[in-house]
Amino acid sequence: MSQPIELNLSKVPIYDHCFFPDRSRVVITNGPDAQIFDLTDSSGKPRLVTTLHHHDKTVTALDVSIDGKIVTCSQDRNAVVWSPNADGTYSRPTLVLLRINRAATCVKWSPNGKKFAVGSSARVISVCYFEEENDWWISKHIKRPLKSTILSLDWHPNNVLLACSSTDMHVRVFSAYIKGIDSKPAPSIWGERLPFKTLCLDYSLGSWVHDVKFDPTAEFLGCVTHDGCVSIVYPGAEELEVSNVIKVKTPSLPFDTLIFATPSKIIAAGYDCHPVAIEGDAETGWNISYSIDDPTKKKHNNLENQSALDMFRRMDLKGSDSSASSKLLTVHQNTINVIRPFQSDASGNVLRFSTCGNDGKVVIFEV
Amino acid sequence: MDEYDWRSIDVDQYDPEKQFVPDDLGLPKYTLEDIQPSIQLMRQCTASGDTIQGIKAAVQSPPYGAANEVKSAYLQAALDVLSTSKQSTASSVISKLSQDEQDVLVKLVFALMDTKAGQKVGGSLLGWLNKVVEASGEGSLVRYLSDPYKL
Amino acid sequence: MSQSLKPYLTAVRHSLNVALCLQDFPSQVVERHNYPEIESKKTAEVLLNPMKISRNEKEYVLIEPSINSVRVSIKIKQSDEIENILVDKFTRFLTKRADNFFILRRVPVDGYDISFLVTNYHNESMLKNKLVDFVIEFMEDVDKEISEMKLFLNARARYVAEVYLNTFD
Repeated sequence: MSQPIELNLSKVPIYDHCFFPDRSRVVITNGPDAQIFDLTDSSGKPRLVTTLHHHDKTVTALDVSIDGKIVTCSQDRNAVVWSPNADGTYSRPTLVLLRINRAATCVKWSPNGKKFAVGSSARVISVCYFEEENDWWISKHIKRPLKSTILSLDWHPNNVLLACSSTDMHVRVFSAYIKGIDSKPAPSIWGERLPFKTLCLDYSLGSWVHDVKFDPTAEFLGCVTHDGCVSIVYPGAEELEVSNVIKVKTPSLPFDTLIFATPSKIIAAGYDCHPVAIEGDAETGWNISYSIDDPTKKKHNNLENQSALDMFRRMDLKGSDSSASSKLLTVHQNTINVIRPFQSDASGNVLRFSTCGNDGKVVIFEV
Repeated sequence: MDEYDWRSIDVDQYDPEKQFVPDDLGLPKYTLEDIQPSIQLMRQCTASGDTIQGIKAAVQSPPYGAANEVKSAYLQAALDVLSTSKQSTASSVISKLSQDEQDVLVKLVFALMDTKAGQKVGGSLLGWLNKVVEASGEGSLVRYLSDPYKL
Repeated sequence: MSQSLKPYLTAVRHSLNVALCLQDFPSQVVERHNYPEIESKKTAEVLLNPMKISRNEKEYVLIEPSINSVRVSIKIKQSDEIENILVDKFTRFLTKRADNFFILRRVPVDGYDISFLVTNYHNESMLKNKLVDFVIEFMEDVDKEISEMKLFLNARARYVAEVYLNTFD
């Protein structure tokens, strides 16, 4: 397994990151701005290309569509879409009418890049689409039965179904079908007739659901919750029916985020600062299989100088003369916030994934 | 204006939109008679010194959401089981419990440390807590934090 | 007595480790604001079950977690009147300088001697294991300091009484 690629991009926590489709540039959140870094620079180090400045409060999430549009959303109740100019630079923000009265917490483009959904603390999901005549993005709201802040969203590949997870301990799947923008979706296990706002699945998991993802075949959902469990929810054939839920109780601290590497392997990461793989399927159940960047397999590198001068210097600075390093053994020094797939093989299985954390680093790991 | 404290009136309580209604857990209403069999079993195990059976009885079906007298009776019996067992046998007992049973044991220990009787034997309760964490990591504590079923 | 100190501190360490899993959470009640939810308590669903870890009836720790903040309240062992006064003076000395501590709360929670309020911002700028180490070390050292202060107090009182009463000799 080759070493993970570390990119030290920021001194402040990175709440969200997204690589461009060609993987040459990455956008990260940096306080109230979003920054674009170029990774193919000749010096080998990531180079800051542009700072997208528009919001006046922390940017909580961002996403890049397949045609290069960037959407950022922030705690100032706004979201903004940056369209690429002809030469690939970003300078012109387009107004988005979210009509929410609390902070926006998460945003995701639909797979075809025509709509995006924003989750917010106003207990509302705004599904936004472009209106040509006024050159702005307008939104339609999904309100019931959401009871609390939305923490995370994920789109189904058919561009209509939207999974959302919230602090009211529920995971739900809604239909976000917009007449005129979407074509009628093929019938699936989630339902046949799907007008806007239809609730296709509603399941309570007992504690805050930090992240939810559709699996690559879009047949079931994977969720991570604050009680340190990874749950896999299989929908039933009837409306709103859940056929099976498998809860994997882990001995580690809660996870914040997950992705599906294959339909039978989940990679989750969170407060333990290193990713963990969970494998299985519907019949045999799911179990933790291995840890990536496992701290129990590493040792401290006590390279510090043991001279008397250093000992007195340490006593003066830190009040103790022990030379134990205070760095964590994992690559990430603080919580991992978001995982995204980085490189997939021909059949869609993820080979490498990228993570960003509260330590200001973006790291690319191998599965 | 008079001394009526109109500034701290909570206006949101009158707005139906703003109320958060937690999910109904569908707990049965436990009475003293319902938990008598478990209490009897626990008292027998305390008397006979059979720790593992006593603990299994305690974590089998705790009376979540019951009235205070019911809960205190149950907790008293559970406290007897836990405090009269020997610390040396604790690790072997815990290894025989399933993950779910260990989670309920952690819940019992925290509920007991909140009571006066439990605080008197704080040392042994702490021993049980630490042994569970040694055996199965901090996962049981994580699950205790967000558990909606409260003892 | 020091037999139960180590398990007490280990239990507190594990509970703190688990409770300090915090994330940024914008307020649902007021727009454009970010409150420590454990202090405002207006949003019931983001508060977690409090943990009380007691060594005996006189010494216990209450950890109240929530989604973006944790309140740790400590009750220090006070076995007589003198120790009550000493603990009160000691905690007042610290709480008057709460800004320099970052995580210290200026007023302890009812029924406790001293309280810490740790928010997600502290978690982001400081290492979590070091925060936990700090609280555990504090708990270890405060007992020693109080007994030391009591000894010095008694020694001074004895000396003063001796000198004073010698004048009547």
